[in-house]
Amino acid sequence: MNKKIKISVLGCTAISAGLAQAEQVLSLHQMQYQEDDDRIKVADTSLALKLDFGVDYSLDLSLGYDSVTGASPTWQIANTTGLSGTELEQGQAMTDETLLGYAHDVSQYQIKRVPLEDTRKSAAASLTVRDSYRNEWSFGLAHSKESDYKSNSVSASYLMFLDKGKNRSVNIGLAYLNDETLVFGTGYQSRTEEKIQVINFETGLTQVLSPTSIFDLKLFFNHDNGYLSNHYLTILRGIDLNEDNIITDDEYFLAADSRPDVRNGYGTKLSYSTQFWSWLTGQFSYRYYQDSWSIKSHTVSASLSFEVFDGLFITPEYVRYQQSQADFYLNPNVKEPYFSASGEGSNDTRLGDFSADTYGLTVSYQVNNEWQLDLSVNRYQQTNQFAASWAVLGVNYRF
Amino acid sequence: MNLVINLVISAVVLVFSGQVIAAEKLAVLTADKQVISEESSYALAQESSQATSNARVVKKYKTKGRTSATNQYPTSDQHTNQGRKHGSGQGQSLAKTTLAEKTNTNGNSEGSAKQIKPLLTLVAIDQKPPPSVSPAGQWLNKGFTWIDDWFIDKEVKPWQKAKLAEPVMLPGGVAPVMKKFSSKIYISKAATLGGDGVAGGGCGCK
Repeated sequence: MNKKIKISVLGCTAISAGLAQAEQVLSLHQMQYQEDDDRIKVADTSLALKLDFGVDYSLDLSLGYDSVTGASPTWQIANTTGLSGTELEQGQAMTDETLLGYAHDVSQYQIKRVPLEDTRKSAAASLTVRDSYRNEWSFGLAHSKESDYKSNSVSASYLMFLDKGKNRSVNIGLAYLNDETLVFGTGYQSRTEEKIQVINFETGLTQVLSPTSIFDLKLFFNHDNGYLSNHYLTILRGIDLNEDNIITDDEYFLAADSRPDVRNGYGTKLSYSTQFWSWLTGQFSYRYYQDSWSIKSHTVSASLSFEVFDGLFITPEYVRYQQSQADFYLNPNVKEPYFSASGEGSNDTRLGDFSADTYGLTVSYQVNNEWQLDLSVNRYQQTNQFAASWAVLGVNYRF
Repeated sequence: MNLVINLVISAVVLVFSGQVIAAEKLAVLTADKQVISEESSYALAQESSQATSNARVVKKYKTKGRTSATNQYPTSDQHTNQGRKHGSGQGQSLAKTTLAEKTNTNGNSEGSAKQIKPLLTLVAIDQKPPPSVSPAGQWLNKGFTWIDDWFIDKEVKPWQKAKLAEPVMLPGGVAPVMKKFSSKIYISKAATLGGDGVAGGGCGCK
């Protein structure tokens, strides 16, 4: 009996080794993203190469190039004539926050679309090493560059199996990002380089529940430190220039978006995948997030993959997202969207209270052993009138 | 009919009992069954209830022409000691103990044993497989055994994981790159992120 077990183990090892064949995949995908009302358009191209060296080493390389064009809404001064630099200097002397402009009457401040154009180039590499227990070490490097933003990151993660059947594993990961951004100074007269440092930590447990279902639990923690404001976005601040304790219509300034320099966020994500039938697979997840800016969010996603015939998968997906607003956020559409002379403040609707729905449909067709085509179309709608659509088309070549 | 059954049983014994095989080879090569001492015969009989079919096995070997095997089996003292050890192991370490070693132990047929090469040894099977879980993993697993009690009806065996290994079951499904694109959009249009791994770069779009 004991021998039979040993023979079985040896047999399974041989089968596993046979299945774990090395595979190299080269893929090219392009996304076209467009916001409603002709706001922002993005063309994002990604080239990825996955190399397996035997069964112990895997290398993932990727290159990305995306271009952004369009206009983003923010507070601006409607009529730039008659501006006074004297009041701007006077107001700047009374606050530590960055003031960008001044108009003699508050009615001249309007939310206008500011044109923008930028490109982002990125490169990333990740090496995975498996030890004799099949535990995995992964090491990653990433770099990206925009005209006013630069990012470098390093990451490491470890996956460890806990049982002989490889049905249970834990993972732990840590990443460090060192970013730099160019920030506008007073009156848009200067630009200074600011640092952003980010630490992402994640740990989790994966458990095989049955031959057709698997469950995953993750806990994560993010620590952001540095210049976390958006220097393209503006707010209005009322500053009592004549110190009469009343903010009159000529005492409002155009100021820079201002957020705390530290943000700690944490949360959990639960995922469940199951194969109902050989032709129908479902993936479901829930994520909870909370941070030190008082933002809480819930994300629920569900997708069903139908294998219509051998190699053709159609996957509809739905994602529901809901978040509460940051404690320093003010809706720009309220009657008096003004902030005080000092303290954090933002009209960035991404920090507001909203819900969003995403409807997606992905079609993937494996033409033969080498080629696979992917197509995805998606619609995204927020409850604050924002909406966008995107489509991704790609090809994968296995060799 | 009985003859056929006996032959089948003998074949099974042949596979799982290197000692029986070696014993019959030795018997064939020496053409003298007296070489096998009473003690070693007793040990063999303990390890195989089919010892009575030895004659038929011998016949099979003769007809297959496998009697030309030469001995390359180690005869060092160390190995001999191993043979003694295995020989006294109540038949549990069947594989490593060949009759060659047994006869060496007895000291009755050393010359003959040196010329014997066992056709089949189960050394690889008898060796314990390397541990499949790291010590840290084993230790950590003690804290999660409640999952087995509460949620797992039956342990999933490695050969039952074909469906779990299908790309459609992996995070992101058959086209995981789509997840990367959508995650990038969610990061730039909402204020939260996390739970999708730590790898990846920063973006001014946040």
